[in-house]
Order: sequence, then structure tokens, then C-alpha cells
Amino acid sequence: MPVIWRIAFRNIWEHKAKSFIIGTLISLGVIIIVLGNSLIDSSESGIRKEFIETFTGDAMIHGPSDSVVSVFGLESMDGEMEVPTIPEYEKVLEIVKADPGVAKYTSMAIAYGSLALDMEELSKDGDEDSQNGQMGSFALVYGVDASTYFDMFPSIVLVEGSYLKPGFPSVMVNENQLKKLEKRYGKKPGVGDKILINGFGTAGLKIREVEIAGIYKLRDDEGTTVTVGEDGASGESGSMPNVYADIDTARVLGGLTLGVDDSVELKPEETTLLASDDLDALFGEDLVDDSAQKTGFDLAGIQSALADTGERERLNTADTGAWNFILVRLDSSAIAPAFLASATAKLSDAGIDARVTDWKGAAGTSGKFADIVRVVFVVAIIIIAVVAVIIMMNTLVVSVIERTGEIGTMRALGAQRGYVRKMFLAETLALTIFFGLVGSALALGLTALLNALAIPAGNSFVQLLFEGKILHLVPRIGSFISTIIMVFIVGYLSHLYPVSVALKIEPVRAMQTE
Amino acid sequence: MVIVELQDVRKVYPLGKVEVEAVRGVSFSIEKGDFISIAGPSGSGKTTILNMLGCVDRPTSGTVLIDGKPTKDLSDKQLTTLRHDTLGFIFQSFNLIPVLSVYENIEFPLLLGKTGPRGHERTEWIDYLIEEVGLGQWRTHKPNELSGGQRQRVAIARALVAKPQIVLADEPTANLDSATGEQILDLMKKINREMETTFIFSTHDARIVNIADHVIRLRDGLVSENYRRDSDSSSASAAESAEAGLGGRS
Repeated sequence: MPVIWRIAFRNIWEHKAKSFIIGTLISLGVIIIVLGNSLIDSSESGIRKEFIETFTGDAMIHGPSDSVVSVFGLESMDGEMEVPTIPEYEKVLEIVKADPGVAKYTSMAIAYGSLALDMEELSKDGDEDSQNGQMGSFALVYGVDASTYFDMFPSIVLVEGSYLKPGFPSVMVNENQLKKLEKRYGKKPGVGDKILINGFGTAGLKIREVEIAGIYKLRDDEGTTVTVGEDGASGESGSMPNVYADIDTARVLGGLTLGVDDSVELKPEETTLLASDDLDALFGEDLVDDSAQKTGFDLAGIQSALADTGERERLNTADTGAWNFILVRLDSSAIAPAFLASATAKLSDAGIDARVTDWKGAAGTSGKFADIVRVVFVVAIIIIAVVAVIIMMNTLVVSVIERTGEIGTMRALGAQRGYVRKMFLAETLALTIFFGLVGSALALGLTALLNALAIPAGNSFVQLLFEGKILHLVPRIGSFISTIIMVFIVGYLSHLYPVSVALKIEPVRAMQTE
Repeated sequence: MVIVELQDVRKVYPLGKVEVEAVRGVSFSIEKGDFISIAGPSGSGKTTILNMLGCVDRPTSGTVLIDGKPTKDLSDKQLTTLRHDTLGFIFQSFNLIPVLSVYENIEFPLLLGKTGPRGHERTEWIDYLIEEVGLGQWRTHKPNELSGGQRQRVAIARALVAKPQIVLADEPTANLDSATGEQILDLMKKINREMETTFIFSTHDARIVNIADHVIRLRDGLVSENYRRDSDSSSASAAESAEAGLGGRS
């Protein structure tokens, strides 16, 4: 072994107290980083799996918007109130189908509403809920293509009844939503019963009476019921607001109907009048049509006009080409970036202004939870690393001062400054790498111990973080490697100032102090 | 052949607001193979001169020539190389590297450079030196397991391992008992004879002065005596002493 490493290892052994202080710091740091990364990786994995397998798929295509669009609707209200539809939907769908990496796909529309059993009570619901500060029977209505949606998200499990029947106005609700209705109305609806959905969107209020086709729950691979909060993110309410409806019901509730986009044709004089600030002109007698007073009341004419319900029917007829999202499952989640790039390019080439996003974008704010936790964790680690560098640096400076004679002797014997630098670097690296490995081994042991203790998740939120009901950490090789690299960097930085002190020691001074 | 020469060397140390002139214009030359003692009381400047000869300190003015080359314009790297290639050091406090064994301490100077014996030849040479200094059974021991005399022998062996032209010894017997000191001096004298290595001692030990071929006495930073012990020793001594009295030129 080269003499530099011999000196390094032997000095580490000779100065056990100093080595122990530095080694303990390094090991603790490694343990914190490895365990922290394992927990965050588990959380990220859990959140990713939950969203991909329950809501978003690996990728989502949606219409153009200045607001942030997620699978739960608009996340920011920059003047927009309506979730955009996918333009040229059929062409977009062809692009999706043509991609060899696509395993499954489905389309859906979204609407917001509230559930009720009674028309008279419908208007009271909002007042009571707002007084109680509760969301009440709020429903996030997912209008789905039943033939493909539930196949793509098998974690949506039917508990009772049947899945949605295409073309038949029906919904699937969860047990909690039924309990809320029971609490409000004193009777619990079941499969086959009718409920009312009051949809609120830019096209105004729409009410639809639909039949409960089935009752669903979410299930993970372990058969555990996984619940998500009312805003689509994990929350303590443990109750999903999602109501799965046939696509036409959702379209009508969400204002995706044929009459919505009709524009009103104004005559030129009407346009001028509306632009006027003259109130007398706006409310003048010129505008009163008194022809009926002159000619008499025409009952048949009025009845004929009222019998024309075409406009109303159009406003209540779903636009069958309107979809808010196409959700895609890929053969492997790992190819998602490639699919995103490919799909974006193809849409651009086709001149279609649709947007493609990954599961995280589709999950919106909820999907960023793990990222936020990781950022906070990294900041904490950086602070710890800075403190560790300072402590190690001070300890090493003391060591350098204690070895002034030794350093001066080496220089007198012919050791260049670079040799002294290498010697201290070797010592610092030997310390950091050795105790880094010790810390890694301890982290592995702690991981095994924590896994063996089978710490349970106390609530649904923690279940999401634990990726299941029990804490199960899986440290990744990448985490160990990045930790060792970081420890190496910390060690290197720590040795810079002490070495600069050592290099300033002149041989003559060192010989005087010996 | 002159191997070391000092030309009007001065050394001034700042001591707070005061300047201390440790060496006040010293000139002398040393022949190859000399066994020379630079003697004088404490504070006479002998250690300072030795440090300048060893290129671990620079003169404030004047010139130091090692093997004919002036040292004042050399960079730190060049001085370090000069120390490694030409000089050997024996320190008063031994200055062994605590974590290395006897063998490793002796070997250390060879590991710093690209010159010197290699492989089996190196091992044989180091083993020879270990035997010569009488430490054959202690080669794997650390310095803290040795007596003072044994450590000084290690230091001597280390100083000789790179076969330097000049060995500088700063009070090598100061921390030794008289018997051990005698042994050490006999050893160095033997090496001086066999290997023609120039030994320069900074000492106030009378025993070293008595066996030295060349003696330079210092007082208050100046040369007070400078004489050689040869066949015509009395006349040469007198001439050099008189010259020394005029200002320290050899």
C-alpha cells in the first residue's frame, strides 16, 4: 500500500477520538439521507402508483388552456371557468392508437355538481353545507367510456350492482356518498334508486336524474381500500368525491352540449344600442312592441312559439364529440417521456392544439406532494452538510496543528506541498468513505429493523406515503451511491482549509516546535 | 572540493517591534567529506546557520551556495528538491514519523523522490543501514517503542538512506546519555570515513568539537574561530583564527 494511505489509515487509528467524532457525524448523515430518501422514494412510488392506477394513467391529453389542467379539472382560475375539450378528438385518438407503446387508453369528461335525493331539498343543501363549513354532497363527476375506463383502472372495484351501461343515464357512487345522503335525507339510496345531480358550469345550472347503477370502492394490490380526499388529494376525510357517470350525463352537466356554442346574431341597430350609455335610449318607449295591443292577442301564435323546444333540446343534448381528457396507459411507465415527446410532436405536426402531460401533470397539485417533501428534505440535508463540513473542518485544523512537527519534518526531508496535500486528502477520504460505508450498513440494518417492526399506517394519508398499510422501506442503490458521493464531497470540502493551514507551515518553524 | 559556501550571510528576525540579528555577516566554506562542527553558546546563531545550509530558512542577505549553486533565487519547489537530493537531516528531537515503523521511517525519503535504489536493491540497502545502526531486531517497531538512542539511530539511518552529499545534524547528542552519545558519534564518524559523506554539526557538545576535522566557532552571530585539524594544524589554526577575528571570513 502506498505510504500516503498507510500514514492516513494509521493516523485515523492513532487519533481515535477525533476520528470517532468525524466518523459519527458522517455515519449519522448517511443514515438520515438513506432513510429519508427511502421514505420519500416509497411515498413517491405510492403516490405515483395510486394516481397512475386510479386516476391519471401514465399520460393525459387535454385541450388547450391558459390555466393548469389536471384530471380533477382546472387548478388555477386565470379567467377560465371551463375545462377545455380536446380539439379534433378523432384525429388525436388516432395518434394515440398508432403509438406502439400504448397499452390501453380511455376518454373522459368532467363536471362538477352536488348530489341530492329531493328537488325541494336541493336548494337547501348548499346553505346547510356552507353554514357547517362542509363540502356536503359535492361530486366530481367523471363521465367515462365504460367499455374502456374500468378496464384501464382495475383498482375501481364494484361492490354492488353493475358498471355503467353505455347510453343509459346512470352513475356509480361510493359508500361514503350514500351515507352522506342518508344522513341528510333520512334514507339511504341503493342500487336501482334515482338520485339527482345538480351540475354547475359555465352553461348554467343543470339537473339530471340518474339511476345508481353500482357502488364502487378503490382497492390496492393488497386488497386494502385506499381512499382519497374530497379535492382529489389525500386527506383525512377519506372519502372520494368521484361519481362515475355515463358520458352524456357528464357532458350535459358540464355544459358540453350542442347549443352551448351557438352565438347570438345581433342586428346593427341592436349592436349600436347596446354600446350606448344613454339609459333613456335603452329603456325608451321605442323598444316597446305594442303591436299586440293594436292587432289583438294571438293565442295560437304564442302556443306555436312555445311549442318550439328545439333550442332547449339542443342545450340539453350532449355533444358526442366532446371529451376533456384522453388517458393513456403505456406498456411501461419508463417510456412515458418518450411517449410525451412523440405525441407532442405528432400533434404539432398535425396542427392540433392539444396538450400532453405525464401522470404528475395530470395529478396537478396532488402529484407534486412528493416533490415538495423531497425539496424540503434536500434543503434540510444541505443545512446538515454545511454544519458537518464546519465541524469536520475545525476538527481537522486541530489535527493539523498537532502535527505541525510531523509536517515540517516531511517538508524538510523533501516532501513537496503537493505531497502534504495528498496526505491530508487521503486521510479525509479514508475517514469519509469508511464511515460512509459504516453509515450505509447501519442504514440498511435500521431499514431491516423498521420493516421488521411492521409499523402500521395510522390513516389513509400515511397509507399513501407508506405505499400500503405497513411501513416498508426499500433503499435504492442510487440512493446509496448518491449518498457516498455527497459524503465524498463533504469530506473534500472539509479538508481544504486545514490543508491550506498545513501548507503554510514552513519546515523551519515545524522543526522549532518539535 | 568546496561543497558548501556562505558569503557574508546575515539573518534578521523580527521580534515584535524589535529586530534581532541572529547572524551578522558570516562567511566560510566547507570541503567535501568534512566532519565539521559549528560550535558556540546558545544564541550564537549556529542553528540559524544550519537551517540556512539546510535550505529550510533563507538568509536576509548574503549568499548560500550548495554544491556551487546559490540557493537564494530558488523557488520553494526547487529548494525542496535540493533538500531531498543533496541533504540529509538529523534533528535534535529525532523528528520521526510516529505512525511509521523503523523500516518505514528510514525508507520515507526514498518514497518522496524518483531517484535512489528500487525494489530488492532498496530493501537490501535499508536492511544494511538498519544493521549498521544496530537496530536489526527493531525494524517493525514504532518510534514510541524505542529509546532515545535508538530513535536517533533511526534518524541517522534515515538521513543516509538517500546517500546525500551532506548530512546536517542539529545537536544530535543533546537528548542522549553520554554512552549513547559516544556510540552515535562513532557511527557517524565511521560513515564519514567509509562513504565520504560531509557531516555538519551544530553543537555545543565538546566531544563533537574534539573529533571534528573542521571547527567553526560562533559568538554573537559572528565567526570567532575557524580552523581545521590537519598535519600542519597549529599554523593553519592560527591563521584561520586571526582571519575570523577580522570579520569571520574563512
